[in-house]
Amino acid sequence: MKLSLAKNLIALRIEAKRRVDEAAVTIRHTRASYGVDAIYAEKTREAEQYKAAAIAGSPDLADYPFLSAETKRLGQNPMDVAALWIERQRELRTFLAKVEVARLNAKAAIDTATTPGEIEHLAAYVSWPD
Amino acid sequence: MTAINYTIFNREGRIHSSGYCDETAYDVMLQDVADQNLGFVIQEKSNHETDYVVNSHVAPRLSPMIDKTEIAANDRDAAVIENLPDPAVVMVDGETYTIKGGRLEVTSAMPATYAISVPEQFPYTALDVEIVAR
Repeated sequence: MKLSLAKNLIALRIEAKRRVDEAAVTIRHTRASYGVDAIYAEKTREAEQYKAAAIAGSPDLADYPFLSAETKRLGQNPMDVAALWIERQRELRTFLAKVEVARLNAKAAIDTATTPGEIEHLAAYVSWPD
Repeated sequence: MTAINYTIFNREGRIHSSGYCDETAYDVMLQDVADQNLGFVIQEKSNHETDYVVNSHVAPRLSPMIDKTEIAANDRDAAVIENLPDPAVVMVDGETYTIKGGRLEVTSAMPATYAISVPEQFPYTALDVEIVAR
């Protein structure tokens, strides 16, 4: 009897894309894990609101609990702290955007790969940002 | 005193145990085999892992054999597995096939590593091998 062997590429692609998604989650967590990302977002929101309020008038720092606490802790000007948070959030978003592009590119490449070796390689060697 | 080789085996030919002893012990052993319904005895030595009993004689168990484990991924170059039970259960990457004729030719057009497993089908031994199609 003869048997012509082949792999189920659909199943391999599904598994490979699952691995890429999983790796993306791990990489995102190196910068902002669950819970912490919500805090960062809240800090940024406060920083942006404070900055806008400062331009319009004299905001009460007590209305911005994260900013108030950090300003006291560091002994710094609230505007400087707000600017730092906004900049860090911008860096984080840029990083997360790069992760997302890498994730989507890898999955798109996996969809068009035609051999198990290619699929495995694409899942194992995604060009994640540093 | 003469040492007697013996092999105890079941109806299927599977060897239960083997060894040697003197005539007195041999008689006792025969009685034990009968009392405990262990099977049958022949006066031959054997290895219970690699041999079995067929037509009242010890013989090597049958083993599936593959001629190569690398093939070209062109759907023409074939690895051949011979000496299979007929029919044989063969598993490729966990999927089960029933192979008739005692022989299997394996080809592939897709470069990959394929896990081939032939479970033990007594008196045939098992075969586990990976075939790489390049």
